Amino acid sequence: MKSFILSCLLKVFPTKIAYAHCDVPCGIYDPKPAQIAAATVYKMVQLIGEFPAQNPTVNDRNKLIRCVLTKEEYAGKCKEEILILWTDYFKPEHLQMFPNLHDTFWKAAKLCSKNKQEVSIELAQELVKAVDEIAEIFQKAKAAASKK
Amino acid sequence: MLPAFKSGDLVLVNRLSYLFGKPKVGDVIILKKKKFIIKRIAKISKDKVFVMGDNRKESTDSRSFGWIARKEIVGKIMAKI
Repeated sequence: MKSFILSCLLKVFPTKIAYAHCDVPCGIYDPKPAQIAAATVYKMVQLIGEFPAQNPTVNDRNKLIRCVLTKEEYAGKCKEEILILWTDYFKPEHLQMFPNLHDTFWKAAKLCSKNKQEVSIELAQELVKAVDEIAEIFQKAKAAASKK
Repeated sequence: MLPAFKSGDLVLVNRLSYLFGKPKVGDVIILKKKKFIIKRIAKISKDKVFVMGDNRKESTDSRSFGWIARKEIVGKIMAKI
């Protein structure tokens, strides 16, 4: 009877969905996708560097374009993943624990853009290092949260 | 909003609650950001409120998006049906 009344009421009065979280699925954060994306950028820069400069075949050119496209795509993905961690996972209270948090993320995001613009093994290495540093901060923050 | 509200819970919202009365700390409210969000009022200032989810570890709330304006409040949760 109760459910009958309820279903009648729901027909008369429209219901709307209210979310408890702003992002779905909220609470699932991991630096791994950013690390994989950074490693992909590094690998692509390596492959682009090995590309034959003299008399490339059509297949060589095809491979080069694919590598450049992949580098572009994964540098973008890396930035996106970093920004999710920065803006959604980390909260103001983390700043006390990691005073350089904003600077670390800002530099890593900038490195993603730099790796899009240029083909430089040094920049790719710096990106991998910067994302590893973020992963380390993330693990420390998680460990501290689980102790609470 | 675990443990007070679970996914799929049906709640009754009074949109008129704050027309006459003032929000109180502890009130569970619906607020309108890009979509409707359910949160609990943690602090109140003159014309803004600071909201937090009950599930502190996972919640994205005023700690991320800051204080919300009173006009962003849609209504107060009256009951869980």
